[in-house]
Amino acid sequence: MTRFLFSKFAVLCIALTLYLPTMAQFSGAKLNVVGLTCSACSYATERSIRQLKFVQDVKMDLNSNIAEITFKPGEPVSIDQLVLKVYDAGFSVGKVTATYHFTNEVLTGKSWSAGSDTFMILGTDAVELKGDKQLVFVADKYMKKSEYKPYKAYINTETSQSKPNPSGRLYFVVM
Amino acid sequence: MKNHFLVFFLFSSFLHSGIRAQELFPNNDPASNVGKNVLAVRASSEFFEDAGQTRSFQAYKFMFGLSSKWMLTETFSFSNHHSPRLPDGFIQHDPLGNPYTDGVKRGSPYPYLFESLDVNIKYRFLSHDSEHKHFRMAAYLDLAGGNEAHYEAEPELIGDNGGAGAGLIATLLLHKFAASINTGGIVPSDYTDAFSGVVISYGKAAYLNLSLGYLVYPGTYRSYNQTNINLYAEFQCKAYDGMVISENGKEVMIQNVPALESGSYVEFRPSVQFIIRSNTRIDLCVATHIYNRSWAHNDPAFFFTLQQSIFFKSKS
Repeated sequence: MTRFLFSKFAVLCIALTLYLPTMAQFSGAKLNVVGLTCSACSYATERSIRQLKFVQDVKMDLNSNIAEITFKPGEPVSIDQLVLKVYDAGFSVGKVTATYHFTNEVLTGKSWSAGSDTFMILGTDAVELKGDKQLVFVADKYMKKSEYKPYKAYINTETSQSKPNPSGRLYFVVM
Repeated sequence: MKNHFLVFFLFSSFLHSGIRAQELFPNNDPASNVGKNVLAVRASSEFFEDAGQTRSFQAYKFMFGLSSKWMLTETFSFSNHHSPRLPDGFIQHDPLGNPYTDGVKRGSPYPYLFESLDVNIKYRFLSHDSEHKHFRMAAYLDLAGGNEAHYEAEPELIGDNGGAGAGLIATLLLHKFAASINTGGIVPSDYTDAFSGVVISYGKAAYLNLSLGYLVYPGTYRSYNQTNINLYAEFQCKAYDGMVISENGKEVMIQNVPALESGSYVEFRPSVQFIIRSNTRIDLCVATHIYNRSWAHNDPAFFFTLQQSIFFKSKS
């Protein structure tokens, strides 16, 4: 009976490891929201972002339209969901920067894993995965089209060749 | 002449000041939609004098963001513009029994009635967004149900007529200068009075509306609680066919009644808008004609609008 319960617990732990999105390594993020000028638009965007359960606080600069977001400690964070909330509000994203706290991550080639997600570093040869680092995300909907263009071919190749966790996401970042 | 000076003044302001603009146009939708799972509720009123009667029109608009690109809008409208049925004497007969009309006497009192329900679906199909700029385009379809005894050829789906409509919107926001063009067409449905056998076929219409706007206060944002004051200049241009009336299958002669004949006009609508706590919106607007006139309302017409957004929580 004890063995049975232990094996069930082990399966549960493995399942949780596989399905949990990125856990708690992110303390906050900055989003450049583009395509708007008025405070009513900023307000709608902030309300949209605040719906995410991992978001603790949002401070929106109404003149630059940069949203400074603090995440709840211990909550799994999805950068994709964060960006999607800006699009849901009717606007676009010009830049995504997040603060990542490295603990025991191991770099395999140019990438590391956190929860079910994989992060691949672009354009840096030597990186020390230690302490707090600023990650700038590189993706089609995360930045201006002209800025994404130089990365596009490389990202498409890497994405087609990689075999990330099916429940996870392969993010490309610049450090 | 006074109108031309006002137009010149507004254009000069747009071109020469370090302006901030808004695209929350009081009279025309921009290409942008309300956000996903956001319900914007708008109550609008229009008033004008009609030969001693104060004509009043109210529209209650519910705009819901189905997604970031699709928006569904339903508008219920009420007014004292029409009688429940065609008024007695609208159709007369000559000694030979041929029907004719010389229109409706202006200033007749009418009861306040429900007019129509208009359903609009809008799709934003183009978005070029960058910092403090965007160029967006959207297409929309309108379907309106209603069978009002409307005594003017000019069709209007929100209020006067049932029917269908479609259009395109292009909106530019450039360093806080906002301009938008909304162009489309209306195919109104016929009015049928089963009692008298009168059928009115209203004219099809095409319109092109130009909207410009800017923010005059605040110069720099400090909080969501600052009241925003925006000024707008909008131009409504419309052309429509004349109406065709029949009584029991026999064409009714229209005897030189401009309101029932084809027409076109350009109307200038300056507005001031207050946005309170970045959510509650109040618009004050006046409409005045600068080329020909609309027979569906008199000069000047005054508009008052109140709008509030409700944010629904979505699954995340």
